[in-house]
Amino acid sequence: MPAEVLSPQESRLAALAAGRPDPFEISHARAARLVKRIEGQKPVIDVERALHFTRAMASSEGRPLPLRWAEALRRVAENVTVHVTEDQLLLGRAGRHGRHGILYPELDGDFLDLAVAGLPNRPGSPADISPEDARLVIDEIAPFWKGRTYHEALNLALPEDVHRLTYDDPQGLISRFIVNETSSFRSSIQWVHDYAKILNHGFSALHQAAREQLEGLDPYGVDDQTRRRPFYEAAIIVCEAVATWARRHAALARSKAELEPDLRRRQELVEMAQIAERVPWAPARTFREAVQSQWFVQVFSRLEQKTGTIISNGRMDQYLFPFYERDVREGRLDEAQALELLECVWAGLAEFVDLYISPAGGAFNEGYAHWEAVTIGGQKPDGTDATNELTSLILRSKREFPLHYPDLAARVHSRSPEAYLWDVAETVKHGSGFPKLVNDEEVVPLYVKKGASFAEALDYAVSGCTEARMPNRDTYTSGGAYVNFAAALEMTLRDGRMLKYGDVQLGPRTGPASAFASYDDLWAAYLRQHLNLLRAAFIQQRHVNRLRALHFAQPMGSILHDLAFASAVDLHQERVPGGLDFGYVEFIGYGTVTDSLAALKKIVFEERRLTMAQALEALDRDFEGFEDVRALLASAPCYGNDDPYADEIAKELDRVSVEFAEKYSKELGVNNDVRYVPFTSHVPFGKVVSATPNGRRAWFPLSDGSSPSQGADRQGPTAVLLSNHNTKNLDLSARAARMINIKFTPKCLEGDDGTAKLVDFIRAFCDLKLWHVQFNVINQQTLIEAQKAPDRHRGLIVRIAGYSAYFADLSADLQNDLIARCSHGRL
Amino acid sequence: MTDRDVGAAGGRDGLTFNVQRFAVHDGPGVRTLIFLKGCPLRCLWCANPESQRPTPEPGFLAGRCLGLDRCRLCLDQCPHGALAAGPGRPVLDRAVCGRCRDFACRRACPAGALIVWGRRMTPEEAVAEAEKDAVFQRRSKGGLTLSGGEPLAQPEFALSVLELAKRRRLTTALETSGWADFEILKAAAPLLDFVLYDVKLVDRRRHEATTGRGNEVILGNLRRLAELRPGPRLKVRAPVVPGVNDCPQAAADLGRLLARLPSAAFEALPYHALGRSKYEALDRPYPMGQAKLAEGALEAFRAATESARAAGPSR
Repeated sequence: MPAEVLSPQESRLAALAAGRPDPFEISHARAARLVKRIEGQKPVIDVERALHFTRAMASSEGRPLPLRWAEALRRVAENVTVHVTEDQLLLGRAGRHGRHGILYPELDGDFLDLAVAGLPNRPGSPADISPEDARLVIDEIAPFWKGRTYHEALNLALPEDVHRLTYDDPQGLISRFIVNETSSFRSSIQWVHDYAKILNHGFSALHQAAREQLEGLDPYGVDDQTRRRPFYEAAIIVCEAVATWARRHAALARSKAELEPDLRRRQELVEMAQIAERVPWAPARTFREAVQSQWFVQVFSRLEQKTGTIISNGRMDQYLFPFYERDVREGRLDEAQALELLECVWAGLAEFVDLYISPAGGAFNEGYAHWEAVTIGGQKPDGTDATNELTSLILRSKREFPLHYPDLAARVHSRSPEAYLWDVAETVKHGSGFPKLVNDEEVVPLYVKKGASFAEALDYAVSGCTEARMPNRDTYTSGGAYVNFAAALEMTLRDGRMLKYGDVQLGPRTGPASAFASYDDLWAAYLRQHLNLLRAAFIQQRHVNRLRALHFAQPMGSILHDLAFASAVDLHQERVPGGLDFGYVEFIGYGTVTDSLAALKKIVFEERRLTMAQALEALDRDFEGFEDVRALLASAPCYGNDDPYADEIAKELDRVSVEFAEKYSKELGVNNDVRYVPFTSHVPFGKVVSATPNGRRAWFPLSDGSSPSQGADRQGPTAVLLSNHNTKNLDLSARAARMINIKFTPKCLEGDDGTAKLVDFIRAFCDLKLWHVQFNVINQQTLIEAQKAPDRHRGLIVRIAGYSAYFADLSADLQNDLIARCSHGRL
Repeated sequence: MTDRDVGAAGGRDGLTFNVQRFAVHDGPGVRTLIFLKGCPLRCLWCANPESQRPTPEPGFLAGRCLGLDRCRLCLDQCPHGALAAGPGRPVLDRAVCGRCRDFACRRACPAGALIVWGRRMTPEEAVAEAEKDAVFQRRSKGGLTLSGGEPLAQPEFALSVLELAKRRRLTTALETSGWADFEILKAAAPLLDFVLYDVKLVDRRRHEATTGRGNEVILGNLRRLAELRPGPRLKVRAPVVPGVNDCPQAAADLGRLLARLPSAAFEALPYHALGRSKYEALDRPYPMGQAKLAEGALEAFRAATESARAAGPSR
């Protein structure tokens, strides 16, 4: 056996266990200090952005929206306190020192006062706010926005039947978690800027281009004077605002340098100031300038608006590479310096918290983290492989950096080099589940089918959790509906009602379930409930798209986009000429619904081992005293096992949804495709659904994404991927991402053999043309949980001595043994 | 599973007790293991006691049973009256059971506590099981592995599966105890890419005492298998079992034996008590009791074996 080479993470843990100094601290002194300062820190809310934004908006009512937004950003850029972070090489923060979050009252201003007043007493409060800042929110910020927010407009606009499925209260503050709108707790869905534009040309070039556009306007043209003029005026304002903000940082760094006793740090501050005096206004010349320029853009983007899951970072190994390569070639930069800069970016990301303080957004985004995806790998626009030295440097940095940043996304394709996949697999083995993989073989053809050129599709960047964006072609920013189809199932069994909501008639009356004489009857009733929710989702989306355009603008995001700039149409408008509009309707509870239908089909209608009345009674009692019924239902075939019985039902569920989307997207005017990406919504969605016929107890989480129900996958990871593949309707195109989580124990992937097997597994994933997969290399804590709740961890495979076994099937003694042995899996 | 699936092996069809997908540690790549039921040996440490007898047999996994206070679905299901209510749980009277072909009890149990080990399978079904993971096998050069029990104890089925697997371009592997008629092994060899061959002990008498059979056949077959040209890749595997072979002498014996098989790979596997709950399920005592492999014993065995192997066969 070859001597085991310890990974950086392993040697770090080994050193810590042995009481030796943290090797990360030694080899990455700066990053270690940056991390240490914020590790475990409670985030603080910074109200400055909200305050200046509100004051500006209050003084500009009635004027064109892009112009108002740009003016507000100028006010923010000129007035927010700027900070220099100790030890950082990068300038630019969205708020005060330490972990911080900022407020977007344009989204939740109508109830922000209530939320903030309750913050200090909220159990598990996610953030602190000072009493003075809370007063500002309550006395000044919130009162302005009352009656003006998009959220209030949407609440008023929704037809009664759709409102009933969307909200639980007349004000629309509490979600029903059935047809959940997500457009009111973020200004935009996940997004990626064309960062290369700024690195290579600077805001000065856009400023110049906007001026030329203004000069070229027809002085008599109504459209030119009323629409195009304010757009380009806003462009000029926002270019200047970003530059002003950057230069204020530069000035502060200079003054700090003068007072800095440490000579090295003084020199760093001077260099930082020099760089910030130049970028992002002028083009970057070096790797360091490029990193700083990109960082300024993404932080300013946070000041501009709330982008769902935080603004993504795009293809970092592509747009930074020319700078990296030139600097290395010309001796200005070595690997260690490049790594240090990357770590400064990751540390900067870690300081910013994506706050959701609205009741709906908060519950929906329970435990919500950040998905400011950094994309690596994939193909170039000409279809050649895109990996380079920076790709592997970023992977290395991911392995070394001790926090869960950045959110790393690795594109793979059929010709991805073995060395790259090996590097990816080694990184996955570190146990934090990164990088997630997105498959060119699925994304590129789908995007071409929907209107992209090959060059555009091949150049996509992963955005947010699983999405793919073409930064100069995508133009759709509306949050879509997350639809709880387990609720449709419950309505099928309860004549259009749900236990949680008592007498409220939520769905059509499809008759008492005990009257269903066959599976066909059950399916027909389910289909009516299912389509009713899709109908509500699409109607809701129509209002969302119409109203958002009246409430939101993003002048910086728009000028970074070729099409929006050329047409002078803000990205939040319904239609940007030449753009491709990819939206999503989210299928939540796929495994839950599939398994429930399969259980009723097999146990009630085929084998007749239960009557429907018996099954319903057991559901009513949440299986209390009906454990035998629960076990019987749970013994039916489940999705995720490569079992055609369940997979055919799942495929039909997908088909009816995708067909609906294909048909009605045309009327909606955007591709509102079916997607299976829950974030954490399957948890709150589960909290409104009573017991389901797959044996799931009331109020438990629904199945997640396109993964099997918890504990239902008993055939191992190949069967999970195959079920996913089997249930796609490849003849249809209104399809989007499917999120899959696969669990491994570190032991299962041990050594070079284990890495090789993971690489092969990734290749097979690529062959199957599945959109996304994320590996969860299970740590000790999970094994402890698996021991306590074996039913929910039935699919967990552990490697023991000469073979692998299902953890749940092992004796308690051996489980303890494995738990003890698995301590190196901690991450 | 249909009623046809449960029943004794015969002719071309086989009797299996498990199919395991995504086996990544038993042979190259991602493999599907088909476990054949029936074994000529009775190793004290056997981790798969349900593999030993060549006929279907019921098992009761008490840990999965919901308990009679919550579920009584199995009680009146046995036509022979082998199932009765015990304290809190059903009790299976093995003297009465076992004559039955359809095992109604198993189908009645919703919790998977009452199970039947023994599923009849055609060679086509066995290969189809393996081919479900074809996408993964192709990438990893994996395929189908026959395991057991002793696969060669069902020669017609085993050879048919291997032949068909080869025709379907799967890679094939065999896990064997080596206790078989050499003619069968010889017939299987050209159909195999990889053989994992168990050698427990070189000492004949200890072998007989701990496995129920002498090892002359096993060692003879190993030698002749290694001489076949062309032959499958060969890996000798030794379980390191406390009180059985976890001693320097056994390792040295094995090392010398391996020295005569220069092309064979070698792997030592640690004893584990994973099979214990299955002994309980079969109402059999666990022969190994509380035995545990001493700390470092595996590594010591491996090192002693390798060093004796390096010293050569003459010593």
